[in-house]
Amino acid sequence: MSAQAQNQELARYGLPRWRVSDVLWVGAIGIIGGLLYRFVFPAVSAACGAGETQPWSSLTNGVWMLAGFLALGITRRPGSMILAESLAALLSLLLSGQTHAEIELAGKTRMVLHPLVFTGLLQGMGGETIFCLLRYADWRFGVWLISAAGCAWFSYISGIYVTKCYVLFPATVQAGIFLGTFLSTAVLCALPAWWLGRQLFEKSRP
Amino acid sequence: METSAKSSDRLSSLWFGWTARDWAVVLTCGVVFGLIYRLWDDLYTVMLVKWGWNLAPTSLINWMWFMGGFIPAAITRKPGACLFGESLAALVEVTVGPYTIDVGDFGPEIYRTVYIAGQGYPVFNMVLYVGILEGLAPEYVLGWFGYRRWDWTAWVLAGAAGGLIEFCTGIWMTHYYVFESTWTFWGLLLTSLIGVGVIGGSVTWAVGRIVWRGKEERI
Repeated sequence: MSAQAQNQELARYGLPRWRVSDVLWVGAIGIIGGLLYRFVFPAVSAACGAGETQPWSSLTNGVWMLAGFLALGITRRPGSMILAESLAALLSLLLSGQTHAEIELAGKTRMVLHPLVFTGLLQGMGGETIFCLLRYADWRFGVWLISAAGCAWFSYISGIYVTKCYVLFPATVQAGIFLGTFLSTAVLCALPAWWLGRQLFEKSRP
Repeated sequence: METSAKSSDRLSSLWFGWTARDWAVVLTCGVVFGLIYRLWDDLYTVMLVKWGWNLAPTSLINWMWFMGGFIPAAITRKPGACLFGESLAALVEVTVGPYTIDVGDFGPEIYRTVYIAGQGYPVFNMVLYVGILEGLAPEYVLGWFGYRRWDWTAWVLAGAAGGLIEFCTGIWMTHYYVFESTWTFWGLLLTSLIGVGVIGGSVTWAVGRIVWRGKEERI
């Protein structure tokens, strides 16, 4: 869609409308992302030493945001990052077969639904915030960087409060984890999503 | 064309078109509702612990914890008002004075303890982050309507999104919600949606109607 047609749509409806092809794109990216999250990325991040040498291994954290960013970059539709990221997280959880997790509360252990879907939802929400506030009308690279920062922030925070795996590290390492997650999200996710969106939307097609 | 030029000016600004009046409204509401949240924490605790109510009916009062974001959003009708107001109110809530009633788990602290393998670690009170999420979820609903719909349906949907995220954070982040039975689980989900969506949404819609009297609710 050319920039002019996009402006007309925005002026008429206020927001970009969902089309059938957008739904298919988001669904396909969510499903492929779920398969990658389950079968490919764990091996990749293990090979890079994830969980052993924080904060350096957090430089691979960006791969977990890939589905949401690509979906939003390709479709540019409201909610597509949240949908794709939640779908990918849900699928990878179902494929793993471990649907429940233990939490500890004041020394007592309880079983709850596995928080992975929730962290996926949170990462999508963190990344899409700035686009929502700008009414899905601003797609410059700076906005993608803010989006990557939001995503990294929500990912770090859910590592503190939801999965609690970052609580064990001292504050400087935690700051490094946030910075590493932001850098990898910016390079691995925001940059390709920005470039893809530019190719698809800001060049008028013949 | 004049309107589209104007709207693109507003769109590209990271100040989201906020005026000094909007800032005043959001900051005032954030602080005032942060204090009200503190009182509401006590009310919730009394209902749950002293009166021994079930979680589900108690959650019908959850709507008040969203007003710090909803009310400024209804008054200013600007992007980000809900998120910022709610986050500020949550910050005031965790910072200001202790609970008046000591009930152990619903602590007053700025720092909370999480347990990993029996060992306790201090973290910043997660209620602040819960507040950010509770402002963000309704913000999305308002944003997906393009910040152009402020009628009853839009507010009820925004409140329902808030109720849903509050339900999720209660399970996975604050761990307030311990389900003794399936009935409590579904009842709590239902009353969260009704309490925040229908009651909170209607209150907010009424406030916005009074402030913007005579204005269209679907811009």
